[in-house]
Amino acid sequence: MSALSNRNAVLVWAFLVAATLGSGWLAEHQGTVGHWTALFVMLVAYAKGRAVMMYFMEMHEAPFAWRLAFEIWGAVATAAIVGLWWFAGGA
Amino acid sequence: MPHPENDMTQNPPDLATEEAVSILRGRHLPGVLVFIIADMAVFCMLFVGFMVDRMKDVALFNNSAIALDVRFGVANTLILVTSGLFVVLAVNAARAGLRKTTRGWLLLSFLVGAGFGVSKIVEYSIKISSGITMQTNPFYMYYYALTGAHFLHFVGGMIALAVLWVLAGREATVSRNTFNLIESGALYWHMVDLLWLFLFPMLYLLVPR
Repeated sequence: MSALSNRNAVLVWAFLVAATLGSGWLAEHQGTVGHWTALFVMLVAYAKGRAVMMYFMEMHEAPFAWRLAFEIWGAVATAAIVGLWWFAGGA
Repeated sequence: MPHPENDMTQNPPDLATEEAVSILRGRHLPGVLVFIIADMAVFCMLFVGFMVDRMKDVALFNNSAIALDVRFGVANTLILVTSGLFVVLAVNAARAGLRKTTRGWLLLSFLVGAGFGVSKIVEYSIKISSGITMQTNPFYMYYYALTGAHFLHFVGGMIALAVLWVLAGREATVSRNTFNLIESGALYWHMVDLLWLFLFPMLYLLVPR
């Protein structure tokens, strides 16, 4: 089992930093994508969470069952937040 | 020229083979992963509870959320992902048997992670001094409950990092057992990071600003 290399770990970190700064900026400047900002920000959060699970936690190399459990958690948590935001009228 | 900490011919580390690491993973990690998945499932249910109650009074939740300072949320996220990176580097160093390097990354992860605690205490202090508590309204009940529960997990992770730093200091090289503990502690620390990645946008960023 090979680990995430230090170089790739730094690349994942750079993605997490850029996505965090980007979604923070977007949330404070909602005119850019307006009504859809919340949805976009939650999808970015899902991408960040998946990067942590798959690479920092090394689930991309874990047995299928473990990887599936984490994939399901990320998808369910995101779908629940986005879905209930949608049912609330997307506000 | 072999690294003085990693001279496999003179002083082979206890976890020299990937096969040994793999066997240990199979033996010990499932317990840690079961705990992590169960903990994350509980948080997922709390996310649903928050979003369901939010549907009952969207205006109240949005008016309360807009009073939160996004800069704290962004800073806390950057702190946790950076501390998480250092933990990854600590695990890689431990895997290579580099004891001093492992301890260095663990210490750095702890120090950077401590910034989250400081930031959170400052944020709570500002809110409480403004008269905003759990009793203010349902949004702030969730805000304090969710971030408070997460904060307790954070404190647990900080204790784990400190213990791992001490344990790694007691050995000449990183033993298989210590490596296993470091990897388990790292998984827990990443979970603290992961939960915050969802809490931050749900509490701070769903509201139109």
